[in-house]
Amino acid sequence: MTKLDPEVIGATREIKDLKKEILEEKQKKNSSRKRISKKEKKKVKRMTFLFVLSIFLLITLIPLYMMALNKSILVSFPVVMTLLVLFLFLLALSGIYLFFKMDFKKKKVWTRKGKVIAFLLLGYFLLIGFGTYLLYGNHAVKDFIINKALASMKYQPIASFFYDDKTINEVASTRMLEEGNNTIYEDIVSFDDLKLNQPSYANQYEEEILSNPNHDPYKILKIEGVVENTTYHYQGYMAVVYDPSKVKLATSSGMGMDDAAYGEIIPVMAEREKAIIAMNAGGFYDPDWRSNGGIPHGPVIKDGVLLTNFRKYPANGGIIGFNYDNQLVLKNITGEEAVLEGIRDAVDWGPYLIINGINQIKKQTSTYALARTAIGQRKDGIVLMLVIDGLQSHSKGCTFYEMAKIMEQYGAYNAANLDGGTSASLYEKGQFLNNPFNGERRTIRRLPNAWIVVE
Amino acid sequence: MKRPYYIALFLAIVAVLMMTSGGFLMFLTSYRNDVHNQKEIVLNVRKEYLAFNDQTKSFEEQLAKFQEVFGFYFEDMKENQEVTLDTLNQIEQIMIDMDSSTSVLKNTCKSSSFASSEIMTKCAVFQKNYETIINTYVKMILCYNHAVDEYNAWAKDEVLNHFTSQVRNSYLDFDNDGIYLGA
Repeated sequence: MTKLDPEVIGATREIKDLKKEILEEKQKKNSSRKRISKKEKKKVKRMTFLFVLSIFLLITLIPLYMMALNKSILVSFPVVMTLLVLFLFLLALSGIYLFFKMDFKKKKVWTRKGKVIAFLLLGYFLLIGFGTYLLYGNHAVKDFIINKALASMKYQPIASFFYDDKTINEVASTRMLEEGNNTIYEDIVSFDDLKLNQPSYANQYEEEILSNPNHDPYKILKIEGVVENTTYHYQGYMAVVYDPSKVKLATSSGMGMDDAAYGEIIPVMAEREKAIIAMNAGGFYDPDWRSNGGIPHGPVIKDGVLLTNFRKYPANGGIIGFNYDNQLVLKNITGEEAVLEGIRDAVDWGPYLIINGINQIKKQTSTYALARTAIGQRKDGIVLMLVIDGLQSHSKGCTFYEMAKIMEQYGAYNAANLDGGTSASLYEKGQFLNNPFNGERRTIRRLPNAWIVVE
Repeated sequence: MKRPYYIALFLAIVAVLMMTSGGFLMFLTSYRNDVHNQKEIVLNVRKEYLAFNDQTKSFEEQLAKFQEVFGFYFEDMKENQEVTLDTLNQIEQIMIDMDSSTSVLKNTCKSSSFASSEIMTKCAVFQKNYETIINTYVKMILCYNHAVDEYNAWAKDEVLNHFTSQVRNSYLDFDNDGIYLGA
């Protein structure tokens, strides 16, 4: 046996130690590698779960997104969009991680478990997609859900879970038309044009007289009627004068009591007196029916002066005049007495129709219709000047009874008949309102005087 | 270990299915009851609506009569006083009947959640007509009483009486326009 060199022995030991160290180090390295692989596997598992979960959530988000688009009361659009971004982020994160960590060279990337999950996800996607299509892509299903919801009381909000108000209203309207309920609107009543009367006048005549919205100094009323107990139609005009102080007597410049006297036609007297209305007044002496209207019958008073006083006529008449209080005075007195009593303007004629509110002609005693003229005054001072045409096709004329009745209807407190026939004339601002007629033709007669209305 | 696991899974699936179908059945039953209730309300509304329509027509007729007899002038007022008051009394009776016979309509139409197309239209017409009628009625009474005041001032010695309506508390301002001429 050879004895080993102690140096060799030492070297061998060192080599052994070195080998041991190397081995230990290798073992250490191996064990650390094994630990790292387990950690990564866990991480990959987690990421895979996150990836699958993200896909699941994104699929779930599809109907929610559609609901939000349709303004569902359950889902708000910003929330859905936030969730969408979050899920996409998770999907991208997990997907990228898996892409770099997956070993695609390995044969078994798609394990059996992986295939099952993928199949389930696909099934879920198809289910959700089909459901969403039915809800929002199919009219029949949409109408069915809305109609069924609206047919109930408690479950009506279900329609609002999926659809906006506009869609619901559209479906409801279609249903309404199908049911024919739109015709119900014909039942609506309206009284918008209802005018309930508010009486302000005693009767129609009062209204005609008193309605004067523009406060005109006078108004003209058309008067029509039929003579009682006959078929005679009459027509004429009434001047309603609101201020009696404006009513005066105009006389012809040739009025007198002798042969030299002459009358004037109404337009001449009206022009001279600047009258807006003129109406014939008293009668005149006319023995041959051809006189010139110069000599008036009975007293004529103007501005408190007795101008003429020739043969009083008719017997059933008297003074017809205004005093200085502008009241119509009807009194069977002489001219002198009238002046003394304060009569301002007057003629003498008749008969009196109404005295102090009492109608003097209560019955139709004669149906002798003629053109007529009358003057009256209401209690409120309004003067009524009435002329009815006669002996013409449009107006046969009327009787004293009709004249009194008309005056009474319009509220006259005092009224008297004036000269009628051919003399009957009502003249307003340059033209005759009626048609003076002598039985054969239109005739503008000369007259001794006229009642006028001045401005 | 495997067998109990499958049993548990099976039981869980059965439980879920039963809960789901039970919930669905409950929903269906509740829905059907609800629809039935609504149908009953619809029937009642239909019935009341028909009666209301008849009353509306009667009101229109009486209103026309009132306009006819009330007259344009004081003299007519005095002459027609008896007929006018009789007409007003009849109109008031219509209003009283209308108030009591439209309770379902009023309650149903007040609820904004009721969305049956038929009820919606009937309610719309009812609300419109009811307000119109009651406003017209009140206007009529005010107008009449005002005319009576005018008449009494005109007639002086002969006094007509006001018409005092008993209809005071039946008004619903459906359109929220705040217009109601009554007390």
